[in-house]
Amino acid sequence: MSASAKAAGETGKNMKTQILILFLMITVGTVMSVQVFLSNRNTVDSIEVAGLSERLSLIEGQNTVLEEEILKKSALTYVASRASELGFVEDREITSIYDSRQIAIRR
Amino acid sequence: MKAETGLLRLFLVIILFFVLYAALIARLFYWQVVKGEELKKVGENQSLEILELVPKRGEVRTSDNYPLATNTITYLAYTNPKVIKDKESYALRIARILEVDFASVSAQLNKDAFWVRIASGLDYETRKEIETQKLFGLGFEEESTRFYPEASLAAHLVGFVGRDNEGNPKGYFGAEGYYDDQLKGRSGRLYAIKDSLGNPILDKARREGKIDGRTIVLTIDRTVQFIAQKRLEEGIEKYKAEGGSIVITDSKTGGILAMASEPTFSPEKYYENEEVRFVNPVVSNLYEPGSTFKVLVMAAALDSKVVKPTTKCSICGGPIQMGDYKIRTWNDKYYPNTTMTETIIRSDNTGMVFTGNRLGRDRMLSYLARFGLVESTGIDLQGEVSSSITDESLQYPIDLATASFGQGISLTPIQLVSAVNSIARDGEYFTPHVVSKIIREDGREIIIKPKKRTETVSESTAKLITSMMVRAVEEGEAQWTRIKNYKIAGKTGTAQIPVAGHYDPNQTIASFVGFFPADNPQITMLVLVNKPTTSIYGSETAAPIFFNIARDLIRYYNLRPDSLK
Repeated sequence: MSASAKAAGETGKNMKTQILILFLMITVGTVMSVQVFLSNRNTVDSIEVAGLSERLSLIEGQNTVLEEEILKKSALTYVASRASELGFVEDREITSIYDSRQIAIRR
Repeated sequence: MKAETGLLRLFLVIILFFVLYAALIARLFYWQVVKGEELKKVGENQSLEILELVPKRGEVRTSDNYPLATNTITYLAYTNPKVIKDKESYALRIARILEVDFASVSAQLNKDAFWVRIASGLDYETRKEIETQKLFGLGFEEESTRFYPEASLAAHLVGFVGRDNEGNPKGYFGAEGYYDDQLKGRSGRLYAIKDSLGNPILDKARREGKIDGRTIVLTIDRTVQFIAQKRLEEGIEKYKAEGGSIVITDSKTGGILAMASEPTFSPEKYYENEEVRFVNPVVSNLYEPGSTFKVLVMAAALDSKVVKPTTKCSICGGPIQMGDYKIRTWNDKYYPNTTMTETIIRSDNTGMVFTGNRLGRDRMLSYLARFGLVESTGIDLQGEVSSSITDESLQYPIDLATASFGQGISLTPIQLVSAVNSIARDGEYFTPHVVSKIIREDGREIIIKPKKRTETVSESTAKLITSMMVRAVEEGEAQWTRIKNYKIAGKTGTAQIPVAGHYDPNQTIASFVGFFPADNPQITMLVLVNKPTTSIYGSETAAPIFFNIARDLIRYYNLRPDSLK
């Protein structure tokens, strides 16, 4: 093989190697960038989630307080005490109707 | 020559690289294998957060799903004394808001610690008020606290939540104690990796094992419980008694609709009471039942066919002498040839001695066992005890005689009311119970069905004794307080209390047991009044309370009067 042909062959090989190296560098660079981007987003999401958890905890706390209030106000012991304050009295009579009675009469 | 030198150089370089790589691998081996675990722990300490996930305790609800015991959030206030400059002013401000002793707050702030507790059990409003003060270094931790919206309503039945030896929440007494394993759930762990700012990294979090407690739904009707508690309080006040108990059961199923006792306590502040106050007298206290027991002995005698309702008593002309003892009637009145029905109506002790003798010891013990009086009822409440009756009981004739009218033997109120309820159920004994269902953590329900335990007497015997009990109400000493137009089967009881080997005639346990409507029983109830002082008799204390509650329940359940049936 002549010297020029040999030199041309070697140049071609060098070109392929360079292209390969360049391709690998681009791939590695892209993968690293994507990883950094995803990690960063993960961290940002985690911060948001932490914030949401705190807010959720606060709302749950308020919810529990309200539930407690509702239960207290619907307790029979409370209702009975308020009823007597409002003037309700006990009715101890048992009323029974033995015969049929006309309730509505058309005149 | 040059080639040899070149080869030697190459060889040396290769050896050098080999040595360097070997050293590197050895070092890596040392850090990753030998020191691996240690470094892992250090790393975890820096970035791993392990949180204990405390399970939510299950609720205790009434039959209308209202929680008698539930959970609320309270706050624990803490601070770091080392960052507080003016401890006195700090303590003063906190003591003023919390209305606590300044000295105790100051003592906490003067401790040599990085974390001290200032106060616990704070509600949300108090927390907000403290936060407005913007006190440096003060923080709050959430705590789950047991909360009882109806306060002391059904306190003995519900029980309370305290702490065990390790400081963990634990149920004591009542349903909280009996069902503690179901209610407490199981704690878990959260493994979270934090970043350098302390924020959790989402996809690295791992939960393990937390199971919230199950919720139990009682057979208790909240309205009936309220009525029972109210009427009991009124009765104790009116008759100047030491205390009392009421049990109301669903005649059909044995489910407890209400169980009230006085004196009572607040489950939230149980620590303010002595332990004796927590004991539920209905399941844990033995008492001599007195004349209410007569219905069971008479039922046994009728069922054994040793007597009939019309059988005449041949020994009822006067007091009965038995050795050194003389058995009298409650009012010292005697009716020769009194029938068995009249014995119940008049609550005649001499007639019962006659009946007991006819029944005999062996049959008596056998029927007492059938009525569930020689062992625990099996009610699902903590602390139940059984009666004093055993196979060895009633050895002497006097024992049999006194047992016939309910003295000399002891049992619990729940045993008596369950036995009487078997009469209401035409001879079927149902195990009393307070829980109707359990709601699992996943929402599925476990239904607790009524359990029939045994037959006590035949249906015809049950009907016979029921009619006697109806006549006892309509013609006996409690007739003044009965409800017109409603047939109620019942029996009074006035049991003297044994004190130091003899009976105190001035101290009694007054009682009334019965069920209604007599033809188709819905409600079985026992009222006990402990040492009433305005009158010692059941007909004048326990019976009026019974009929007051019966009136309330007739209206509540809209029960039809007999003339409309």
